[in-house]
Amino acid sequence: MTQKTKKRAGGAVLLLVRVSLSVIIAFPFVWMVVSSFKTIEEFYYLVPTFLPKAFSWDNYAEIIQKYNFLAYYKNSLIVTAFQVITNMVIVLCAGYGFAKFKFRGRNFLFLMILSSTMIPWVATIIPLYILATNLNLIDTMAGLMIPGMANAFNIFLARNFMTGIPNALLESARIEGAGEGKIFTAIVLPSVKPLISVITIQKMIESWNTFQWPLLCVQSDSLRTLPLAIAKLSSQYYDAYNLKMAAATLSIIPVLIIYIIFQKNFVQGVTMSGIK
Amino acid sequence: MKNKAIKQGLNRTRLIPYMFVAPAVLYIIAVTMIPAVMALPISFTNWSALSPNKKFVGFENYIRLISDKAYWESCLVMAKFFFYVPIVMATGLGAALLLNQQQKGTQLFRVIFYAPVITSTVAVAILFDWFYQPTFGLFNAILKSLGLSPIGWLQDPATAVPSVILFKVWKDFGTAMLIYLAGLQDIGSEVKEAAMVDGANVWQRFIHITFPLLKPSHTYLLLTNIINVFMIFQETYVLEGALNSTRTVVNYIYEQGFQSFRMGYASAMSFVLFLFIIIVTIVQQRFSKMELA
Repeated sequence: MTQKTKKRAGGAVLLLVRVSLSVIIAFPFVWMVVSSFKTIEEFYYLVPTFLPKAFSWDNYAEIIQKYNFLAYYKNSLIVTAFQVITNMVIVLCAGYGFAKFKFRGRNFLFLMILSSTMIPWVATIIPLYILATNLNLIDTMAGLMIPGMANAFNIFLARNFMTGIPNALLESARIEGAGEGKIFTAIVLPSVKPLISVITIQKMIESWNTFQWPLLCVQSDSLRTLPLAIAKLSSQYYDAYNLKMAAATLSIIPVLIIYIIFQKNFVQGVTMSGIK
Repeated sequence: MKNKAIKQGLNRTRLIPYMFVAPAVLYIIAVTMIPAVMALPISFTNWSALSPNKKFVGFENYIRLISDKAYWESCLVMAKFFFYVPIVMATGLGAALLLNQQQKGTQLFRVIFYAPVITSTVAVAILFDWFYQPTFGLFNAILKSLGLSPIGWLQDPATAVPSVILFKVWKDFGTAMLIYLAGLQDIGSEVKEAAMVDGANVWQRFIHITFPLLKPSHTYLLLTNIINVFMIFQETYVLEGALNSTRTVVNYIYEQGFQSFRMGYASAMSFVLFLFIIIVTIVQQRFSKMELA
C-alpha cells in the first residue's frame, strides 16, 4: 500500500466511526419524534417497529386540547422572553460598569458577584422559597420569573469581554460631548455583538429548560411551564407514552432548531466561559 | 453658583458607574446572597411551611440527620454516582480526539455530539424512562435481538444507578468534549510533530504527550463534575429506581422539605451538602490559580 491509499483508508475509517456514533447519539431524538405519531397500542409491541403504522397527529391534538399544552407553551415563552431581556440589560450594564469605570467598592462588588457563581442552588433554594412565601410570590408569575432574571456567570463573561473595548473610543466620544447613555448604546453595544448573541442563546436555553425553581414555586395548573407540565403528565398518566413523546417533542424541537441555526455561538459560548 | 453646578455635575458622573452595576448587584444580593446567609439560621429551626410559627431547636436537625437511615442511604446513592465522573470524562475525551482533526463535516459531527446537552433534562429523561421499560422498552428489545438476556434497568436496584449514569453520560458528555477540544487546540500540533520525528507511535504520543498536557482540562472537568454529582436531582426525579435506589441527597432534601414540609430539617441537610461543595470549589480555585501562575 502506498502512503496515499493508506491515508485515504484511514480517513474512510474515521468517517465511518464518526457517522455511526452520530447515529447512536441522535437516535433517541429520532425515535422520540417518530414515536410521537404512534398510537398507544404500538408502544406495547414486544418487537418495536420504527415507523408508525400511520402518521397521526392525534397525540398532539390530545395534549393540546385535553391537557392544555398550548397554555404551558405560552408560559414557557413568556418566562423565556422576559428572562432573556432582563438578563441582557442587567448583564451588559454590569459588564460595562465593571470593565470601564473605576469607582469605590468596585472590586468588592465584583468579587461578590463572582463568588455568587460558586454558591450552588441547593444551598439557596429553601431560603429563597421562604423569602418568596413571605413576599406572597409563591404561585405567581412574578415569583416564577424573578429568580432567573440574570445569570451571574454571564456578568463575569461580559466584564472580561468588554475590557477589550478601546478606552480611546470612549474618551473621544466623551470629549465630543456624548452622554454616558448615548456612549453605551451607540458605541459599546454595537462593538460587543458576539457577546450579545452568546448570552442571549445561553439564557434562552437555560430559561426554556429550567425546572427546579418552577417545581417549587408553581402550584396552580395555569402557571406551569413546559418541563413542569411534562413531569406532571408523566407522574399522573405514567402509561401514556404516546402523549409523553408528543409533549417531549414539542419541548425539544424548537431548542434543537435554534441550536442548529446558531451552532457557532454555542461553541463560542462554551469556550468563552470554559476554563481560563 | 457655578461651583455648585460643577459639584453637582461631578456627583452625577461619580454616580454613573453605580447606575450601571446597581441592577446586577441588587439582583445578586436578593436572589443569592440573602438566601445564602439565611440558610444556616433556618437549619436551626423547625420551620415547617405549613404553620407560620417556627422555633429555634439548636442542633436538633443535625442530630436527627446522623441517625436518619434514609439520609445515609441517599448519601450512598450519591457515592455510587461518582462513577459517572471518570466515565463522562473518558467519553468526552474520546469524542474530542475523534472530532479534533479537521475534515469534511467535522463541524456537523460536533453539532450532533453536543446536541443532547442543550435539551431539557426532564423531557429527555422521560424518553429514556420509556427506553428502560423492561418488557417493551427499546433497550431490552435491542438486547434480545442481539441474543442477550434482558436487564431490569430502573426496576432492578442493582442496575438503577448505572442506568441513570448511562443516561447522564449521553446527555452531558458534549460539555466535556468541548472543554477537551479547547484544550487540544491549546496544545497545538508542534509538540506532536516533534514527537512524530522521534518515531513515537499514536498510542505513545497520546500517553506521554497529549494526555499529560491536557491537565488543566482534566482538573477543571474533574472538579466541576464532582460538584454536578453532588447536585443530581432532575435526572433522578424522573428516572426513579425501584425501592429508592436512585434517591440522591438532593431528592431526599426535596422530599423532606417540600413533600413532608420539614423545611428546617431539609435546610440542615442542604447546609451539610453545601459545605462539601464549597470544599471542592476551594480546591478547584487553588488548582486554577496554580495553572495561571
